Amino acid sequence: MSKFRQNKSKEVPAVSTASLPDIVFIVLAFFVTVSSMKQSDLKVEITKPTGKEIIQLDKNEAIDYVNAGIPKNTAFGTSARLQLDDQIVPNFLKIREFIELKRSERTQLANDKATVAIIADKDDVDMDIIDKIENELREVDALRINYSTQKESLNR
Amino acid sequence: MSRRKLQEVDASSIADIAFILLAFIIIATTLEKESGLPAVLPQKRDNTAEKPPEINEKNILEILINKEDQLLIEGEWDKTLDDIVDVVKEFMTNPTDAENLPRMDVVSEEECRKNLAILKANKETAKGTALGIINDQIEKWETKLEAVKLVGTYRTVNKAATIAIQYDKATTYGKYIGVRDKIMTGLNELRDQKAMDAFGVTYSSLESIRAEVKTEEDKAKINAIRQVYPQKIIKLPPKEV
Repeated sequence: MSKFRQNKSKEVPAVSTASLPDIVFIVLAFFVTVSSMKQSDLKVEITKPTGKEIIQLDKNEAIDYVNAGIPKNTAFGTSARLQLDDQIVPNFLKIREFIELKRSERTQLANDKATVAIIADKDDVDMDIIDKIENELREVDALRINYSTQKESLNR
Repeated sequence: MSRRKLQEVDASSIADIAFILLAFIIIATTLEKESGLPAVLPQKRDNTAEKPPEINEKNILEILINKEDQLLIEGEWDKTLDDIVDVVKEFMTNPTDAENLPRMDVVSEEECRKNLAILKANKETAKGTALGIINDQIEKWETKLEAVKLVGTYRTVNKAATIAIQYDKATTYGKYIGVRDKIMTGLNELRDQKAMDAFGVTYSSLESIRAEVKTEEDKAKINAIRQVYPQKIIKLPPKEV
């Protein structure tokens, strides 16, 4: 009994936080491995179309992004425009330069597997724009494309 | 020299540093992977190329979207997106051998071997461009043979059958994607069925295996199913509709 009483008088020892850095580093490592950097900031308003039959692109294969939508900054006008990398470009011809530039940054092998993701607004972009984009891509032989689409929610 | 033991560096702030790093990574990254409907554009055609082959009306499934985003399927108005699924399935299988739908080919192992034997015999004497064509043909029949070995004798649409999407310049992108998506739904339902019969798993589950763990066998199965139900969608140049 005396032993018991003795214990009661002592304070509860503080939990050791020595292992906290290790835990945090493990979480950090997890995030580093499973995530990818956000692509450049969007300067155009885009609501992706939805679909059911979508396929995820392989993260290890190169993806070039072509964005189309109405500019957020009204100085660029109120009709749908094209954004490549960080800039809203004046015309469709820039796509060729853009693809060539991206290609020069990669090896031949990576270029063969590269995909161009077309990210366009579902209502504000019409097929005329998509058609022009695709024609430019055909000019530079970038034939593998992907229409960026959001997963349709199950409760329709 | 000091006799004192070197004092240990206080490590309690490492946790804080790690937390700041963690916060940065979470903000700067996204878990969302790029996903969508894949497509392959046709190669640029030089004007000197030979005339496109004659098109037989029944080999084309024409889906038209006008500038008001209304659908016209095989000449009928007032169709909804969901109608596309069944139309595509009927077009790809032609279950009753109807006259107005594409002719179906039956591919058997025997036929593949027979054609390969003939082609290989011809290869001996062929030269130049003819040799190239024969090599292409041999490759084609070999893929078919691979498919037959996996799924058995199969029935497939003849190679001229195509689903064509016609649209107006003012058609919205969203509607076009909707149509493409529904075509794929029809196709994937057929593929799922075939894969279920042949391998006991659905095509979509084979397809969704992550690239790093996909075996050669899985890939062969996927290719076989694609041979049976190929994805042949073309986009016609826009016109006023």
